[in-house]
Amino acid sequence: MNPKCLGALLLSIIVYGCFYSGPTTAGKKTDNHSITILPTRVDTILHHLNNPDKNNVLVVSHRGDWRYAPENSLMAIQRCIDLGVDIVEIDVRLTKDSQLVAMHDLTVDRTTNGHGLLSDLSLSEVKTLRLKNGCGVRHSLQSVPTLKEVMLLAKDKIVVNLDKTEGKTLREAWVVLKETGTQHQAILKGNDPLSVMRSKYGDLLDSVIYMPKVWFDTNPPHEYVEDYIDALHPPVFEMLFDIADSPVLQIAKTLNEKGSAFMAIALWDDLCAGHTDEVALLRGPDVSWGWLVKNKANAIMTDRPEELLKYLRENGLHR
Amino acid sequence: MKYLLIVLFLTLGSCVLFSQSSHREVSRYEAPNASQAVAVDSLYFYTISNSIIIKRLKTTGEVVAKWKGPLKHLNSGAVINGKLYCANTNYPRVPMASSIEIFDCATLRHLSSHSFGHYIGSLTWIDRIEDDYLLMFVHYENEAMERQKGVAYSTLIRTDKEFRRKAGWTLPLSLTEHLKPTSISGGTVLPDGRLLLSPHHFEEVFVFDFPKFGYELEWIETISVPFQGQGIAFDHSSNSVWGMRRDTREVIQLEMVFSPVPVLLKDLHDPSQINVMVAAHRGDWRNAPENSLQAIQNCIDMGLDMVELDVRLTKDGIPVLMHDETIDRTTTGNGFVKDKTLAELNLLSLRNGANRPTIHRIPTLEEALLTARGKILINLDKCYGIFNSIYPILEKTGTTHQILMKGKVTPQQLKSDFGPWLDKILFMPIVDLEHPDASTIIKQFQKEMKPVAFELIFKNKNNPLIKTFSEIRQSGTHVWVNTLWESLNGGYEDDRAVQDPEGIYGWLIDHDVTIIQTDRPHLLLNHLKTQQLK
Repeated sequence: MNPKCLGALLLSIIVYGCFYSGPTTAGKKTDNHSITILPTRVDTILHHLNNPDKNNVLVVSHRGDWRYAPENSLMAIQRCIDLGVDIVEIDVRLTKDSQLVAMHDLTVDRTTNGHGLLSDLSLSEVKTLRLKNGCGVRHSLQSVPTLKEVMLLAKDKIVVNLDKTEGKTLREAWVVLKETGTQHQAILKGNDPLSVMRSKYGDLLDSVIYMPKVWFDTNPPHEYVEDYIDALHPPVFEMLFDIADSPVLQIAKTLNEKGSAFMAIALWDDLCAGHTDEVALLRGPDVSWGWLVKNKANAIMTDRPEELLKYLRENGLHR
Repeated sequence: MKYLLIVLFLTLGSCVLFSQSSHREVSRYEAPNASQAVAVDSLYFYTISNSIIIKRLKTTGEVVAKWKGPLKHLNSGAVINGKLYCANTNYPRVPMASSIEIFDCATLRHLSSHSFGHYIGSLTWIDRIEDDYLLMFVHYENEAMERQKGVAYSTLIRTDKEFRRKAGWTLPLSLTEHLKPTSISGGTVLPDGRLLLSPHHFEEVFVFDFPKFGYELEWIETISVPFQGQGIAFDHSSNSVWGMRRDTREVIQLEMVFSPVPVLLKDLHDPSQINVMVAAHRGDWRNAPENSLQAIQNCIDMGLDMVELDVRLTKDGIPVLMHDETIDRTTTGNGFVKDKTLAELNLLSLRNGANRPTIHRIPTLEEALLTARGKILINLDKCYGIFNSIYPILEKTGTTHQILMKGKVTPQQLKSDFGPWLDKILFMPIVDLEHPDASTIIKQFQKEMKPVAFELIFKNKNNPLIKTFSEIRQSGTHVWVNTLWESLNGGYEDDRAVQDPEGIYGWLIDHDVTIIQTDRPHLLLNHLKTQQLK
């Protein structure tokens, strides 16, 4: 490393230390040194999430990099870490013996070489299955990971967004997060309004990082969002708007003023008013991802993490 | 070896029939002295006749300079660093004598001359290659023939800056037979280092490459053009080729797109070459739905050798791309392909690898072949039993020669099933090396039909037949292995290659595997490039 680089790194660590306010896992304080925080990758990502900035857009990879490895597999998560993705979205569901494993569908049919409902299979039965790759080949070397395995792999390296937990498995997930020491780097999410979530989970809601999802048909969206901001001050909202003049997008644009980040979902048309990954490939990234950034998205969930990262980096929008 | 030569000869001969490259006329000028050659630089073109050179503006064809001198037979010219190097001979006198005459491009003033005197033929063209020159000396079989010589004696040489010979190459017999009684009259170096050669008067040009072994230039392709032979020139300022017609005295500029297919076919017929060929399973399914037109296009854009596609028949007998018997997994519909009409299938969307519908539709085989035509080789799977419905579409789309069919059969079965087509298409037998008769089946095929490739499947990496791969390769047949999942390849599969490409792909290549069907074409291609195997 040349001296100039080293200088820049030291400076950035010091500056970072001054602004940094979130939890830390790798930093160590000793009696002899005032600042010895060496932020982990997760610390940096959380810093960006907690301090939404129009000049830095977080990349959220849907089900891991499922083009590269079976969806919701450890290999698909490792790939995201290697690419420099900020947040990996993973679906978790319960097995028959109440273990959380990474699985999108209710059944194991589509993504593994097994059959039937996941909830009818024990963890040991699930562990005998092999994940299929994206072209349906049954023989990949990957198996279905438990949430514990996911979090141990992700620890300090990448933030995890857990889907399919809402209103169902928040408590089970919390146990695993605490066990693995990763509660600060897991974003849980759900559709229900605050009152419903409170009645289900009580104080647990104050402990987890919770991301409310605001759908284009959430009615009325303003109240839904305000309730959450007042009670939980969520660092980030998932905003789903089917058309460009949806009130959800209008609210999304004001989230930064209220201290929350706006996550957009570029996966399919009616989640982002047609500003999808597919459009980015066909008509150029400015038309879709660029439009989302211009409309103040602080994070974009994508099926094309590699291409999105490239686009953001080229435009100085990813650090 | 003799057989290999015949096979090679037949393949190359077929290049004459199948022109894959395409061209578009950019401009055409009247040029009364265009009888021997045209040369070109960024702003001007130069028409050359026996003793006259005329310089014209590219934009209008307007004459800007002229030279007339005491020369008898200028053959061609090439602009090199602001100078026009012309091939000059004493044709049709014998013994043949040649010289290079050098002119200033700006004024057409004669600058200098380099004489070869009586040499190895009659100089027809000259061009620059790196810091050296290429010069072609030819022989005709007419009144200007030297005793006991003939067209086959035509030679291309490479010289240093002082025109001292450094190397030389011959033309293949198949070409000299084609050209008799004349020979190569013009030539130019293409940007990729290959040669574009021109005959005396036929309306065609030939793509040639330098051989990796030996002395004979490799005939890659024949392309029909509106030129009538004689001196041609590649225009580096506009990626086009200039030539002329003697009958109308016109100069023509063609924009040319050179097809990779003739090179791919040559590789497919020659497992001794060092390129390892890459076939993508169901197209680039990671980045577009499997068996979609976009998945094929991605493979073309990546520069792959081959794409593997699955074909099934609809209820109304139309071949479409589909892997499974049902459309459930890969489309937004449900049911068997054979129970759906094409019109019904056209209403559906293909799903991506995460099961979401995309904008892509189920392609017909015809659409797929038109996408691949002239761009990439195609391996068709799942259609051994319905080939009578497939073959007419291959013919209709002009892609028959790009197709590699396959099946797990014995030679006897294949002959009875594929009899009418075996001389028209390439067929690759699939052999499971765990099968007790595997060795016998391979030997029978080798003896009876000499396939271009065997698709070999082995569950166990210690299968004794792996040792025979080198013999198979040496006998002129490719060894094709699938790295898709571990039971096909003794565990040498794509996902393990992510961590260790050399340990997986390298092991297969060390064991004389020369074609790999992969689910990670990008990874494999990068590996081959770093190993200089591509």
